[in-house]
Amino acid sequence: MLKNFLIFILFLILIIFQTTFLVHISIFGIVPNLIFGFIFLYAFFEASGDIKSFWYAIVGGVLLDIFSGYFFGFWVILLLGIVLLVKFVIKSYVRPPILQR
Amino acid sequence: MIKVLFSRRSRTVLFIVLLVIISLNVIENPIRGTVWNIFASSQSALWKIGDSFSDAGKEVFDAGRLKTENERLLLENAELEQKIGELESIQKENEKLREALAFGLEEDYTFVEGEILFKDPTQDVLVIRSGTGVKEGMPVITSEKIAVGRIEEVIGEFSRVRLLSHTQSSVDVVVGEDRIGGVLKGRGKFQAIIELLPQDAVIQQGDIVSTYELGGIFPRNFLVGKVTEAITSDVEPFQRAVLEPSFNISLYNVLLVITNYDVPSSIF
Repeated sequence: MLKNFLIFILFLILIIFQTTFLVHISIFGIVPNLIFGFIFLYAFFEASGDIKSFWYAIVGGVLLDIFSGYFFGFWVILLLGIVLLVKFVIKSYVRPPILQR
Repeated sequence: MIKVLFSRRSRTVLFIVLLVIISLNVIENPIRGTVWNIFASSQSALWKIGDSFSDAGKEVFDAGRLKTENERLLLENAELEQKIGELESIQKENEKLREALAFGLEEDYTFVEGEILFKDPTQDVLVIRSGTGVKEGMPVITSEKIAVGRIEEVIGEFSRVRLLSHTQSSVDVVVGEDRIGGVLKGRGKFQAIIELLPQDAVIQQGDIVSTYELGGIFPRNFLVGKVTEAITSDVEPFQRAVLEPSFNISLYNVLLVITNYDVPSSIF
């Protein structure tokens, strides 16, 4: 429970940092999407039976939806899709020994 | 994992959560307004820190270039002083003519200040705290008369500013001293291009681009940027030009919204 709360706080910090500070040091107008990167990496390195990355995708997606102009649910659906795709690709095609648990 | 995800319980929970999130669209503005309000002060502070950080960073990286830049600016300054002299005499002449023809002075605008809070994570949109009196479509500029964009949406005391570089932005502009008409279209990531320039027009690197009120979207004579490259093709009916926008997001904490400019209701 505490870990989930900390993840939520982390996401809040990441999105505020990304939409304010990082805008000033962007290169060619590109600002990295920190929540997207975090969820992608979490899904990639997550144990095969775990589904926490799906819940993190929902929490991160809601926060991104609040701070962006798209309809509510846009980022949630996108991040869920990304997590599903990463899981599917890893399960089906990529399984380096270091990731096997 | 696939088994867990597609178990009946997981599917039901996921479906309900998605349904709840999508149903939030009904009350999206109050939710956004409340959350923005909670974090407004911290975002404003971080924006200012980022602003000063980028200034400091630029000074360090640009140190080697400063000497040549200084020499170039001294030369440019001398040329500009000469031009100011010419313009002053023209201005006096112009004033006399205005008086003679009983023309009014240049249109005066009323402004509302908007403090920049944050940038949309995915689009060229800034969120500002502008208070009341701001409506959709109102032009947004800087204190140096640089065109920034238009108000896209007003949520309580906050407003979303669609920058000229936004992919859905389209504004009439004039290029160079000959004031050749074109249409500025945003390309995202703070980049824009000028389209529909006549094929026979001479467009040069460094030509100044300013707004034109033809479509009624933006008032005239607000600086937009400089031409960096003219793109001409024999098979296309018009020329295009790549623009270097004058509005640098890193330099500003406050923007100005023009509140007394009549904006067509159907521009969005």
